[in-house]
Amino acid sequence: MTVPLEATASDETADPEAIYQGVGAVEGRTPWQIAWLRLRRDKVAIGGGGVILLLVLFALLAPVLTRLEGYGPYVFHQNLIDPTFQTPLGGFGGVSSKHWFGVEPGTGRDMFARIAYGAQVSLLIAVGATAVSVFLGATLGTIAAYVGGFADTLVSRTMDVILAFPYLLFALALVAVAPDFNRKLLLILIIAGISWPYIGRIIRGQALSLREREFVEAARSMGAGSWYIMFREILPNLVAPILVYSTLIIPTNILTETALSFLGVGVQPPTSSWGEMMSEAASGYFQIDPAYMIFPGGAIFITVLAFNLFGDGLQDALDPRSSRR
Amino acid sequence: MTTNATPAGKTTPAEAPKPSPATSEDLLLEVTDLKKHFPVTQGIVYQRKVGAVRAVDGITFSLRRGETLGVVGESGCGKSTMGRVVSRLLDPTSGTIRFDGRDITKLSQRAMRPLRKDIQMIFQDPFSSLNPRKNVGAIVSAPLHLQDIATEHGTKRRVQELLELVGLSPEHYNRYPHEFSGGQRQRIGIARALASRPKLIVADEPVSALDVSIQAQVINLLEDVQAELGLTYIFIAHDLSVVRHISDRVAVMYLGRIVEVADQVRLYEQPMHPYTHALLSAVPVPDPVKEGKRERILLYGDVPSPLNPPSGCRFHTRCWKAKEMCKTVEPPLLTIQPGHQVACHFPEERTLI
Repeated sequence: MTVPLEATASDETADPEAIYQGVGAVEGRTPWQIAWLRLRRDKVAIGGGGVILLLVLFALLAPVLTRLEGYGPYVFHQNLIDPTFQTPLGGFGGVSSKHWFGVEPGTGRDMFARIAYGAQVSLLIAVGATAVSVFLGATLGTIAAYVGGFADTLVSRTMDVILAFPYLLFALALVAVAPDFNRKLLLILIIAGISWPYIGRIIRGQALSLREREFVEAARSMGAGSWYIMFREILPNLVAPILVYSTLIIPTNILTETALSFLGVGVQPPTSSWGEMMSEAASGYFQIDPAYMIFPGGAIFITVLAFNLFGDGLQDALDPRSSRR
Repeated sequence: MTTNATPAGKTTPAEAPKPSPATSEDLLLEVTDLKKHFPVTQGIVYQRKVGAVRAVDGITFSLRRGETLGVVGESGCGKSTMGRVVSRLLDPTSGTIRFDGRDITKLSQRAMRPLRKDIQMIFQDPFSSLNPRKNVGAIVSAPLHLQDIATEHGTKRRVQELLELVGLSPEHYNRYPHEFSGGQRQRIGIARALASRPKLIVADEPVSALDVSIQAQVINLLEDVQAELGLTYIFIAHDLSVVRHISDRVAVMYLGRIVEVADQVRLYEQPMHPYTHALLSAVPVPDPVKEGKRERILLYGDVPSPLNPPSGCRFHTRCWKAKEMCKTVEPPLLTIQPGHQVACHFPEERTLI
């Protein structure tokens, strides 16, 4: 799966005859360079990647950006709130040159600052959970496939059980029961705990076919141990699916975090997250102040879409057999 | 070293086929009654053993230093399994393997690891035997790292020397396998096998996946490095002409057993076993006149299942000479002539090529 044969054929710099006669120092291309060349041609994926970069910058630079605007995420602005309806004064949620995304109904806190700091929380939890679940899924999946026997049965059945759970209810119950030491960390662990079997299954399946390849036998005949074979021979061949599924799991995890916050077990106030804002908006404000839902909803929409488009493009670029160029 | 092994077996009838104690010093590998059975199980939770595929079923041979033993046979006769058991990639079911004077039959995989630098393999499929995510430098230097072999001028220099030895450019060090043709990849595989300076190389159909012009190059390369480094080969193939070219001695396998072993000249010119006759009569001769006059022996039916091999002589179901005795008594591998062993009740000399 990882030998990009077509890519080699169209590779004009690495003429097979030239290599054969050992003529000159012909620059070779690594599999990654070939994937990058393919990815670069995919405008949609590059667009998605660009949006992701901007989002990450937006989250990282939240303190700078809010200072630029001039209002922190926790400062109340009661003077901007209609005392009767508790809605922001002015059109579209109070959008103005001072408050770029308007203000929160009820409190008058600045929406731009809350979205920016919310991006930090949402991305941190989604990326953190993805990292943990990819680590678990890749390690356990590879071990299950290579060791086989009882280890395989144990890991595979565990994955089946987790996948069979109604995850949202399970997560709700877990958050309620678990000690509240650090809500963000707890959310990362819980989301990772329910999402690792997705990647674990894919990795196990791929590793099962890789372990039958002759280079694994060759490594054994050179005296390599099981750990070397699993993590130095097999796993590097799985980096492509790992990368692709990571970029596809991140948006799912953002949505899971949103859902948990929406249901009231996410990050706790006054910390903002996009899901928490959606939840507040859904509690009745959105009928009289739709902007309160549109801003966090739009942020989630753009983020999830960008990650999905980038992930799809990455998959096409890394899989030489894909027909879409 | 390679050339004098052949006439020695033929011209001096005094030399015993079974090594006398004096010559056992020269023996690199001794395999005695080696068996490898793969269990066939049934059931989901409790796996009941219902039978065994007798892939290798009692083979005995020995190998002198610097010698090349060719192993031929049909698909599924157990030749590849034999190679993997000898190099201890698979655990033998029974029998003994003595390598370099040491019994390695029962060594655990862990205990085997330091010994692996002395036994290396060359694999059949050059597209699958090189890790596509590693560059040539990492692939060829892997045995050096894994075996902690110190090199005089550093690992990179050693890898580049190896690449030159197998006819590749040292500049290919940073390249990836996908940038090479099948023949070049096989050279990389050979360079990797040579890296740890092994004593024995088990080549499992090393040229079967290559086209004919490249086959010749790779075979000549294998012969050259053998002469240069004094290697011993077990050369597994199903192409009789390739085996004839490279081997000092040839073993013919049928259904998990060796049916005939002889030095290369004898086996091709005076084969004794009917199965060898049939195999050789299938080799095309590049001369239409001769080819037209030649006798063809056609075997009917398929190779019987190694799950349930025929009684007596395993070949009796397809043998045109089979008598009642062949169905009941298994013929032992007997020495007919010095250096020529045949497992047949009715051996006869026959010229087929």
